Amino acid sequence: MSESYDFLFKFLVIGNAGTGKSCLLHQFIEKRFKDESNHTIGVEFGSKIISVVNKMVKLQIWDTAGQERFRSVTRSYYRGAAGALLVYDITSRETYNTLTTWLSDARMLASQNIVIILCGNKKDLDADREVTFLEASRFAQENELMFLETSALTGENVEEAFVQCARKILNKIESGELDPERMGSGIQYGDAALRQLRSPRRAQPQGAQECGC
Amino acid sequence: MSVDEPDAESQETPNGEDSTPIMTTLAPPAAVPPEERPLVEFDSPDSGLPSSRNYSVTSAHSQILSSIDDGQSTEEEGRTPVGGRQDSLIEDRLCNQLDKLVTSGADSDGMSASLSSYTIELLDTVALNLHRIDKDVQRCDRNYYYFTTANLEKLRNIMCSYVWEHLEMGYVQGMCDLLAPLMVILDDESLAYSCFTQLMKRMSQNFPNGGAMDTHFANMRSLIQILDSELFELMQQNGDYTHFYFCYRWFLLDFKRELLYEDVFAVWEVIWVAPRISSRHFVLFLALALVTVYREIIIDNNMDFTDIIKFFNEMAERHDVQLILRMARELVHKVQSLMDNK
Repeated sequence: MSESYDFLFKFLVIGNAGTGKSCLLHQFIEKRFKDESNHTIGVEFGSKIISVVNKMVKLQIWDTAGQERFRSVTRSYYRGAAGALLVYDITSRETYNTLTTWLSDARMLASQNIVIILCGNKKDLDADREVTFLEASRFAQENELMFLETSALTGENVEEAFVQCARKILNKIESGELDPERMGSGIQYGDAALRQLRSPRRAQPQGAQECGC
Repeated sequence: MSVDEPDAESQETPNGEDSTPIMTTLAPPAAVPPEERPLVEFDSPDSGLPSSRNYSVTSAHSQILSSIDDGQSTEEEGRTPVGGRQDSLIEDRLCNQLDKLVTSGADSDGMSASLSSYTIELLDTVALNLHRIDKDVQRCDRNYYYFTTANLEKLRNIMCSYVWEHLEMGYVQGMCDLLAPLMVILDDESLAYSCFTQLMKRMSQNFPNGGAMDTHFANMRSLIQILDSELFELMQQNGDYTHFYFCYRWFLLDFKRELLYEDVFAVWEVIWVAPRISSRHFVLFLALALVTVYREIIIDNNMDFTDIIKFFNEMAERHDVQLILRMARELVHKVQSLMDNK
């Protein structure tokens, strides 16, 4: 509770069962592949402080159960998420085909401004690939998502996925597009930010917004 | 005890697992009478939408159909020749699985309506379920010494048999968790199947759309409000998490993920025997005990919903089970005496 950071972002990891959501989270936090992981029931957690554009950002990551039947359960954890990793498995078209449902759930229940990065996981299993990079990147473009192919096994692009998502949220805060003080923004000021930013912050977003336009 | 016996009305069980805290009838999940449901106006985890399928085995249909037709069915005449991509491994497995299931089902259960006609839909459902079971069995408690490849195979057999008999419900994540301890302690496929079937009569109601989860939450709410108003107020003030979603996994799995294996055995035995000597709602008192044991920590840290979910996730498998069992018994007495004094 005493760690120092500028912002806290609530993140979700969502997507079909068995796509590697928990393993991505574990790889991000522990820097190793969790080979004994069980399927997630309800929700699990991870948090990590990362440095993005000179700001210390604490990511509080909610890792959800994937089976469709539990969607009504996991939805109750969506509220007020600032960012999300939307995960599919590149070796399973089935997990890719359901992306739109996850997407509309996230946008409807978390917040309209939620920043989502699409993660095509299991990149290491290229021989069994069922979804091409091109196809998924088109989908990402059409739906205004960032996109990376990741491997929770090797760690490739795992940190990047979280960092890119966090960076985009920070950019949106700085441009005034996101107001951290709005209810359910999924963003909180940390101790460091409270100390340094309290007074000048009031005037800042207005100015920044004008610069952006 | 015959394993193939359908369990329709049977109340005699090896575990005394006949009693359900909420209701004893074997109603299909969706058929819970509305009056059994508490009024819950928030976005409840239990008010789920019906699941829809997103997995298809079109490429395997014809193969399965022919395999079944050969032995059992005469109704699938309109089938088309095999077309499209072949995935012979999956198909073989599916056919074997179906054949096995059909044979064992036919031995004992002549009423099995599905025997005479395998529609594409049914096969699709079965394939989807097998696919999900395979995914989860592979990763079920694999750090526990018992679950060798051979024993995981047994687990898979049992799960497939159960799901075949309960296709309307289908495989739901969490079922493996409930079966695994039974398998470990009984180390016998048929016994474990029977016990699991009995256990699921109560537990299936906790799964999405079963109706019981909301009742648990509502009961928790009432009990904490009565027994610990200070804690209740804190929960309300810190973003109001008196919906008690943080107890979800506890109720879904009878605390299986919260405890080490040896403790699961101890706690489950108490849950099973409690209706005869203590309370039909003992799981509720266990949940209450878990909250009560840590109430000072919760209050001192001024925990909100996120904090408490995180806290209990981190405390999993680290609880003092004897303390919690003792506390749960005391809480039963406390509530009983409260009721007697009224």
